[in-house]
Amino acid sequence: MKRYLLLSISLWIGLQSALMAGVKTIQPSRESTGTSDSSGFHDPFDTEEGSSKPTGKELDSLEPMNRFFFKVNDRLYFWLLKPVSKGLATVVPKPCREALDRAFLNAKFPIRFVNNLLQGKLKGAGYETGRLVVNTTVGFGGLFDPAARLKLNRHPADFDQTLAKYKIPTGSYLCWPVIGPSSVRGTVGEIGDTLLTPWTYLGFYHAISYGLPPTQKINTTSLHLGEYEDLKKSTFDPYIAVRSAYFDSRRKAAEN
Amino acid sequence: MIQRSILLAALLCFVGISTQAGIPTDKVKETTDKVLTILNNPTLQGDAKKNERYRQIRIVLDERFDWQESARGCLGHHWAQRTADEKKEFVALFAEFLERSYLDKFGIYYVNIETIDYRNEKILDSYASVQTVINTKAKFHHPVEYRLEKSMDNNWRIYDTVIEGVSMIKNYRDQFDEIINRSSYAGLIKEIQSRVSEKE
Repeated sequence: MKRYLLLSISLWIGLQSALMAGVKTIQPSRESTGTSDSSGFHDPFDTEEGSSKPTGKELDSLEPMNRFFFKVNDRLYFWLLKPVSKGLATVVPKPCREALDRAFLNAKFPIRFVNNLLQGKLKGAGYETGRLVVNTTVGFGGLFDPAARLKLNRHPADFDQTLAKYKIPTGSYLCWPVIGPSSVRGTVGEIGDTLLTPWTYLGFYHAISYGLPPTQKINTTSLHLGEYEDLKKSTFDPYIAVRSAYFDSRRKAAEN
Repeated sequence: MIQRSILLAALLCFVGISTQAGIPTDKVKETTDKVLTILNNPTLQGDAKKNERYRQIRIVLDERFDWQESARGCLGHHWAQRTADEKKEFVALFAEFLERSYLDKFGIYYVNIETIDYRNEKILDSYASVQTVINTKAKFHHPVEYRLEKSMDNNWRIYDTVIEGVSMIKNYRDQFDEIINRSSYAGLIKEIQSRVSEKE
């Protein structure tokens, strides 16, 4: 209990300072990255190249704190998350863990439905509703995905993406302990998504509201063991690599 | 989640279904199919056959990927400040690293891939962008874009892979920029050298 209290306090303080820092720093970079002319390397499809859009560095006014939490998360992965996930992987067969992963995603339907609607994507909201109906019934509570066979494809949507669509700037980059890479906007998005997660409403003292998120995290990690290790192996500054990828993938999500 | 997409970012490619139009698309598909054939070859499975598997994939990738052009792009605006010899050294060193890290990812990711759709192709002079979607066995759909350049010998070669909006070149460029600014170009070279040798 105390842990959560501490965590929420530190989250709150962090958010406050980040918001303030974000206001200061959201300014386009003056210095053009301009690799297309100075390196002789030209990429006509790189629309960000040489533009005045912030590339990540300018949005990371809290870099020392973010780097610190990045390291904390790195330790948490190797010392806690990885061993526990590996343990789960040895006890529970992969198809079961995959089914559980699907069920978690299925239950988070309200996030996708509401955000598809907020983004004016009626088709997306319809597909997600179709998926929910088919997978919750014929798919045994979402453990299986018969909807995919009916060509009812996933239409993911989240609140950060919705805010981006409404032209809200990302604000400062934030690397939260446990949660990982985010931004001021991403944090608000995360809170919005949490409010649309069914087990949030089980009540403050209900064990399930605390038990499910870590369970999902461990289960999902058990299906992706080795990926973080590979990330570290293929990058020279994993912190920068993740930050850069965060902004670029969020930008892409906002285009969809 | 993000860590996953960046991982996806160096790799994914390689499985194919359905294609339409365009030489660049055909070239990407051809390479993809060849790599997949090697990965699925029953006589090349297991750790014992890893070196042989890698050797064969390498030959296929070398035909299609322009590692040197990629390496050049990764240095960004620092490229212009290097001497001719330094440029040569950098390209040789980093192209090697890039190819290896590409190879490493196959083992992790290709098993998740179910099909690849070839969606769209854009050509601008001697550049092309091939848009694909990787459909995973878990029924997720990841947009993957290949960027190609037509070389002197009229061959289309891939210089960048953009997965979920994350460009391989830009991602390394941001890292290298940071490392050079924080330490120095020499520091970056040392870092890459130590990584290449530990991968031996």
